[in-house]
Parts: sequence; structure tokens; C-alpha cells
Amino acid sequence: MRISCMVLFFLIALPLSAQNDIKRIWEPSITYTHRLNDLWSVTSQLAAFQSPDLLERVEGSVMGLRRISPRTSLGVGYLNRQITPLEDDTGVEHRFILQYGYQIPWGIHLISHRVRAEERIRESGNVHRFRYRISMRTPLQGERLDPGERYLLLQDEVLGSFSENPFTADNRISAHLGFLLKNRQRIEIGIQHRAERLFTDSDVVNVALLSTVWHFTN
Amino acid sequence: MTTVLLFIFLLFPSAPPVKQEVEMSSRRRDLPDTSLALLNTTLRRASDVRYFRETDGNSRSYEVKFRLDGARWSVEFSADGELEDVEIERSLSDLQQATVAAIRSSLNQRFSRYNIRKVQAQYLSWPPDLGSPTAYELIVEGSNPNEIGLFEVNFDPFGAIQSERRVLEIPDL
Repeated sequence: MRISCMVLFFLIALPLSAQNDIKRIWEPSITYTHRLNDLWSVTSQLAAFQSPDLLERVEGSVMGLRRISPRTSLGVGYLNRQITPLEDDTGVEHRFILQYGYQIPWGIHLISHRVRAEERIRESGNVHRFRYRISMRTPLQGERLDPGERYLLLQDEVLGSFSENPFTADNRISAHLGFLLKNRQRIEIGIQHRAERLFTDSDVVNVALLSTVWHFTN
Repeated sequence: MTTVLLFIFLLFPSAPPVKQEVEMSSRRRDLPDTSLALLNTTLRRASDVRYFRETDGNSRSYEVKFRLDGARWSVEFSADGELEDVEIERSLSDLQQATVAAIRSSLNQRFSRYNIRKVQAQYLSWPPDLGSPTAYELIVEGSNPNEIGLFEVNFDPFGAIQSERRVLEIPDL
């Protein structure tokens, strides 16, 4: 199974490296999760969206999570996005988020489902968006993920903007190599392929995204 | 807003250290000869045989995992090849009814809601006397009004809780 995961990783990576008309982005981010107790936690994140010649956006978010059961959680969050913050023509987006998460173990893998409803408030108008993400995390050493070990994370997320006219959708498939450090910090390096503006008359926009995440927790 | 978030990042302290237990895949030839000699006959009948090396910062041990007669076995040895324990994955229905009743009673007292994820019978000798485990180890998803988590709970052969510890959970972002 681990070999299958690695093969999938390269199946995502190789086509991205071969295409010339694809938009290339680097998305560095840093997140901090503060566990208040077993039930409540707060996760904050800072992220940037950097294309080769333009800082396209910088965003910060806060998400409060309430664990409902060992497998399920509910979350409420807010995101603030600064669009092209270093240019003359800047913009801002406010986003309110509701989230439901469900995790289920499958052998040595952990399967996670996440459903989000978002309201994006922009100068051009409000947009409601729904997102569903499925992910599978697999330890690469041994049968469980322990501090000091590596893991593979495969994800696919579909997004639909129902209040946009016409309806539009995105698909984001990604593979990440993660390191769980001995102090429980995590570093993830991932590649993602985004197919944007699906189901519209315009051409699909392809984005290749390199993500680097540094995550720490209390 | 971004400035506020940056302040929140800097405000929180760094994470405390946790128990450092690392399990890594190993090769058969890396295991002590005495451990392989002990398992030699059994491994001929086993399938899906895998070898692991485990360190917790101070000590090192070896583990051989395989499937035998439909069950998952895990045999652990010290660094010098001495048997430490044998664990065989079971379902609750394999256990004696009185033991299951005692385990459920113990869990009902400990948690308001629980779900048993994994049951292992533990033995300290080789070959194991399958009818007389020395302990049971359960992985339990448990919750109380102010407590939710994944627990490793150890029971004696009669179903009384001997010890428990939290299992490290790594939430997705």
C-alpha cells in the first residue's frame, strides 16, 4: 500500500512538471494549534501565495474547533486575505467558515473527511462556496505515526461556488511528504494540481502548487 | 488582522517534549540470531512477515509481525534477543464471556461512551499458551463530558484495568 501511495505521488508530480501552460505557485504557510483541553482547540494560520513574479496574496486565519467525539469535530473560522498586497491595486477578502470533520482509521491509514461551507465577502460581491476534502495519511515507518517519523498525505478536494453565475467548481489533488518531529511539530512539503473554473465556458485554469507547511502545537 | 495573527503565533509557547518511541522497518538479518531461532518453525507457516526495530530514546527492541491462522501476531525481543512479549490480535468474541463482561464493565466505569478499536491478548512465553493470556491490551476511543481521546488500556486476565495511557493523535489541518 505504501508503494501504491508513492506511485500516486509521482503520478501527480510528473504531469505537472511536464506542462508548459500551467501556472506555478509556491504557497508557504505556518500554522499553530493551541489545545485548550480535550474538547476545544484553536488553529491559526499565516500563508502566502507566491507566483514567480508576483506576491498574489497573503492571508491569515483563525479556526476554533470543538471535538464532538473521538472521530468528529465542528469548527468555526475567519480568514482575512490581502490580495496583491505589494502592488498599487490591492484588495481584501473576508471569509467566514463552518467546518465538519470526520476521521476513521483504515488499517495503518487514517482517512479524514472534511466538509466546509464558506461565505466569501469581496468588493465584487459575496460568494457562497462548499468544499469537500478527503485525505489519507499513511506512516512511512512502522505501522503507526510516532514522533520522529515520516508520513505520506494524499488529498483531494472539490469546491463549488453556488452563488456565482455561472456555477463554477475547482478540483485540487495533492500529495504531501510530512515529517512529524520529536517535539510534535510537523513539516509538510507537497505538490498540488488545481483545476479551476470547471463547468464554465472558459478554459480550465491549471495550477501547479508547491506547498510548504510548518505546523506546531502546544 | 495579519498583524494580530502574527502576535498570536509569537504569544504561544513551544510544544513540550513527548515520549520518543520510533518504530522503523528492519531487515531479517538485523535481528538477533536467538530471536530468529525461536521463531524459525513458526515463520515457515506464517504469512506477511515483517521486521521492525523500535527505539524509545534509551532502549532498543525488535519486533516480528506476521499473520498466522488468520490472526495478526507481534513478537517483541530485547536487543540481545530475549523474548519480551507476544501479542495476538483478537476480537472480543474470541475471549471468554466472563472476561468480556468484566472488560465492558471496567470501560463503562471509565468512559461514558467508548468504541473498542483493537484487542490484543498478551503472552510472556514462547510458544504462547493461547488459553491463558497474561494480559489484554485494548485501543479504545473513549469520551467523557470533559475528555475525548484515544487510549491504550491494559487489562489483567480477569478484565480489570491495570494501566492506561493516551495514544498520540495527530489531527489533520
